[in-house]
Amino acid sequence: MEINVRHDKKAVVASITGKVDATNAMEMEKRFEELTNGQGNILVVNMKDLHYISSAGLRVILIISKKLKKRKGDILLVGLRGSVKEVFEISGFDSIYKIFDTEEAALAHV
Amino acid sequence: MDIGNSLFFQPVLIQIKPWRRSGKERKNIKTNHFLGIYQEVLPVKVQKPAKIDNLAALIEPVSAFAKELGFSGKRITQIELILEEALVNICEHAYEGKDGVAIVEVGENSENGLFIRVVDHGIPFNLLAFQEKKSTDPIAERKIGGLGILLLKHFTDNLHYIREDNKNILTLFVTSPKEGLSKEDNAPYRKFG
Repeated sequence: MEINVRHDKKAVVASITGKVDATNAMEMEKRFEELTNGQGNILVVNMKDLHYISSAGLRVILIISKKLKKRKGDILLVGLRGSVKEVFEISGFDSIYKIFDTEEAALAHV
Repeated sequence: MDIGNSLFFQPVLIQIKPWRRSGKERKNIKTNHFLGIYQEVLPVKVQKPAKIDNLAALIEPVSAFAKELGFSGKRITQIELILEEALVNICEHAYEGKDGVAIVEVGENSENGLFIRVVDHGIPFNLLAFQEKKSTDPIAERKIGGLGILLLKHFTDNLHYIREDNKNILTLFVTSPKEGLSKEDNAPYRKFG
């Protein structure tokens, strides 16, 4: 798993590549905690190059979004596909998160 | 008396054929020469300490076996997910903080299927007793636990659990759908981790 970060005017954009499983979900949680500890209330997570996510990864998304919701922030998801998209659908996460095809569309929503 | 397991009639392991042959030959046979008793030994068996760091070592042999049987890239990813969820549950809960092992065995089930047996010696836990359902609760109310069981049940064709000899034995049956596969479904096998 690799996480690349860029700071947009409206949000922090984190692009995840590879695979999120129980062996690296803690690393992702730590990184997302750092990114949301500052002033930024909006985290855009680009998953277009993410090929695998297990419940350990979903748990991180849920923990961070609960934290952001408490201070009126949000997580926006981008580019879900293949088995990652399927996992979000099965878990019902597709109905509780805002999901966009592109980063531009997500940032336009902010 | 269980003759097969008695001290006198200890079975002798004989490798009949190398693994990488046709599906029906992918077997080892345990034979007792005195009585001609035999039992099948599964082609893949991995035992490791029940630690998250050992997930790859426990899962990769199953992925390789599924690939050998012709499972699609998509289905292998689902098998990895199923197995990860089952094993994480063992690593985090079965031994209540103490050391223990996780055992994974896999074998062919039918023309287009396999079964994975996941075993631990931890506290009794029947995963089938948990009726996790898809939830649309808003984020603030959404429970953090239970997602793994939901995913595991969704991607498994059939499940069986038994508590035997102080072991939890969970058997996952998985078939390989042959139709409706896209190019992405047939993507090359990816290493776990």
